[in-house]
This record gives sequence, C-alpha cells and structure tokens, in this order.
Amino acid sequence: MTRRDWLAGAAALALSAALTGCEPRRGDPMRAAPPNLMALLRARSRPFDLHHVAPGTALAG
Amino acid sequence: MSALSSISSELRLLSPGRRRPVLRCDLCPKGCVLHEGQRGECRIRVYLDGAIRAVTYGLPSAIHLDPVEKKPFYHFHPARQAFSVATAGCNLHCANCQNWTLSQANPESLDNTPLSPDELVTAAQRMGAPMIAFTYSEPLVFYEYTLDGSRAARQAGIDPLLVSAGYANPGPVRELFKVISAATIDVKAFDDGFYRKVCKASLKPVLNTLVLAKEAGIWLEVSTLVIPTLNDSPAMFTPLAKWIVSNLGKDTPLHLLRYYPQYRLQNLPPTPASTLRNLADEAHAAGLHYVYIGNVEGDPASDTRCPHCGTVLVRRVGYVVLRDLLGRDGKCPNCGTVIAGVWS
Repeated sequence: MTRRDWLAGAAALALSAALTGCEPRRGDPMRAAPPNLMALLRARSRPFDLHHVAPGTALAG
Repeated sequence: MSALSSISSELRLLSPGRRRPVLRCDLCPKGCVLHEGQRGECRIRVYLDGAIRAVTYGLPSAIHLDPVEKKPFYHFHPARQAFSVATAGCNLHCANCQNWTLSQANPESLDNTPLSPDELVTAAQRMGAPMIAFTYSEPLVFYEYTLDGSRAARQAGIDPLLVSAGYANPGPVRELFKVISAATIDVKAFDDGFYRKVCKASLKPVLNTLVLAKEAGIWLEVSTLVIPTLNDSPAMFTPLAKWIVSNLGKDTPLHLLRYYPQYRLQNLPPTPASTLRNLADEAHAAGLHYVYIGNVEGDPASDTRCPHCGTVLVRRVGYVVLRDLLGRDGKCPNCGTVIAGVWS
C-alpha cells in the first residue's frame, strides 16, 4: 500500500463517517481478493443434485 | 437485479487520477471503502470490473431441508419444511458464531452449487417445501441473491423467509421487506458494548431493522443467544424485553437460545437451563406473551401456550411438533383468544 493509498483511505473513513453517520471500515491489502476470484469460484462449483439435499444439518438457523 | 450491485457510492474526492474510482459499499453500516480488487469485511462483496459485486450470487455453499422451527419460527406455519440456503460471508464476526465455517470463510475456500433464483424455486417445489429460507450465514450480505430469490419464490407461491442478524442500512432492508413473508432477527445483546467487542458491529442498526420489519407488516420473531457471563444478566436482558414490548408489541415471539461453546469462545460453558428459565420469567414479567427456550431438548418452555387461559396449543420436542391445536384462524380452542402468528 502506498502512502497515497493510506491517506486516501483515512480520508474516506472520516468523510464517510461525517457525511453518513455510518461506521466505515477501510479496505486493506489483507482483504484484497485474488485476481482470478471468479475462476476460483467456478472451479469449486458442484452441480446441484436433489438427492444430496439431506434433511437437517448441524448448521444453526 | 443481478450480482452487479448498485448499492455503493463513488467517493469522488479520492478518485481523481485513478483508473477506477474509490467506492463505498452502502449495504451495511460498515460502509467498507474499497479500491479495485478489494473485498468488504463480509468477504463476498468485491470491487470487480468497475462495481461492487456480490460474488456468491447464485452460488450457495449450504443447501438443506429444515423444519421451520429450526430457524426458529414458532408462529409461522408450524411443522412445515423450509428449503434453506446460504452462501459464504457475514458482516459480523461474532466470537461465538455457531456457523463460522460458513460465515467467516472466503467464498473461494468453499464448494458451491450454482443455483439461480428460478432454479432455487424449482428445487424447493421438487422437495415439496412451501418455504425458502435465506439463513445460516448472513443473507443480508448476499443481498441481491436473497432479494431475487425472494421475488421468484413469491411469484411461485412460496414463502420467502429471512433469518438474519439485521445489521444493514435501512434502504436495502426496506426493499427486501417488500417481498419477505417472515423474518427472525437475532439480537445478540441489548448492549452496544457487547456488539462492538464480541460481534464487531453495533446495536442501533439492528433495532432499526426490527422496527422496519414491524412497519412492513411481515411476520417477525426475535432470537437471542444467551452466553454465560457475557449477556446472561437480567440487567442486560430485561431492557431488551421491555424494548420489544414497546416497539414491536407484546405478541412478538422471543426465543432464548442456549449457547454451546463454539469458534473463539470455547472457554465458556453451555448456558445452564436455569439461567434461560430465569430470563424467560423476566421477559414474561416485562409483558411478552410468547417466550421460548431453544436448544434445550424437551423443555416445556418450547411449547406455545394461550396467554389467556394457559392451554398448551402447540407441543414441541426439539424441532418436532407433537401436537398443534391451532386452526387456520389461530384461535385457542379453549377460550377463543386469537394467537398472533400465521397458521396453517
């Protein structure tokens, strides 16, 4: 991250908070998505099979 | 609508000289400020190809058939099955999250199943489910999928359900509540400090969402996970019960859910059943008619009783409805009192 990026992010936070009253979070390199994100998602796609929809799950909700 | 989101603003002051403008995601109060290639805190809203996109649109990573009682909904068509879906991602980061493997995962790290909104409806129909629940992680962050899926469901005569933490901005929430049939909103605690420390969020937007649900006229239930030492004191809980009575009405069902050690809060024990019963008594004393205890198998506090004569109207064990005396009119067969809800 360049100094300019950092300053821009800090300014955006202050601006967002002042103008909207929201609780802004700045983007940061740790949250950078991989450049081939959509290809990665497609690679993990599995076709839908009704018979694999088991009743119930350990997930809450 | 599609995966391409217009729920964002250009921050013009920061954009001159850049190939792409800096954008702020306006879906939730976090308002993530993103440069191209970055993703928001929810992990799934990504600044790609000139816009913020929900990259998991139509790509659920969890698909199950659940009883509607599991969501939990106790006053909305009991004993029916809800076709339940979720993608990765959440804008909260609760240390106690029960579904953290889904909610706190990057979408590219999970398998997914391509399922468009129309295909979602077809699948629910083939499974014989009269409802589709957007649940498990946070349906408000995969907002466009939830919205389009709900519209498609409603057109097909299927009830779309929302199970959410309710942490989003009013504009998108209002739009979604035009098509949702019922919502369960999870209030983590009636304390902003708890939200900030444990969930990395804040309380006020959640309360706003609850009021918007009430104003929209959709069926609304509230749940709270009671965590020992963190939000189990009557001093913290009773104001929530009173707030619900004042702002949502005494007929709003409240579910007090037992906590089990999860994720980053493995050091705390499961909630004692006695704690849940004490808080349920507090909620009744505050004026709420329907207070339930969840995750405690066989507890009589999971039954629906008539608030007037005390008759057990819906008997439940776990997620199974053993007896349902309520007809379509929702009247107590003993005294005729109308029980709030949407009954089959």
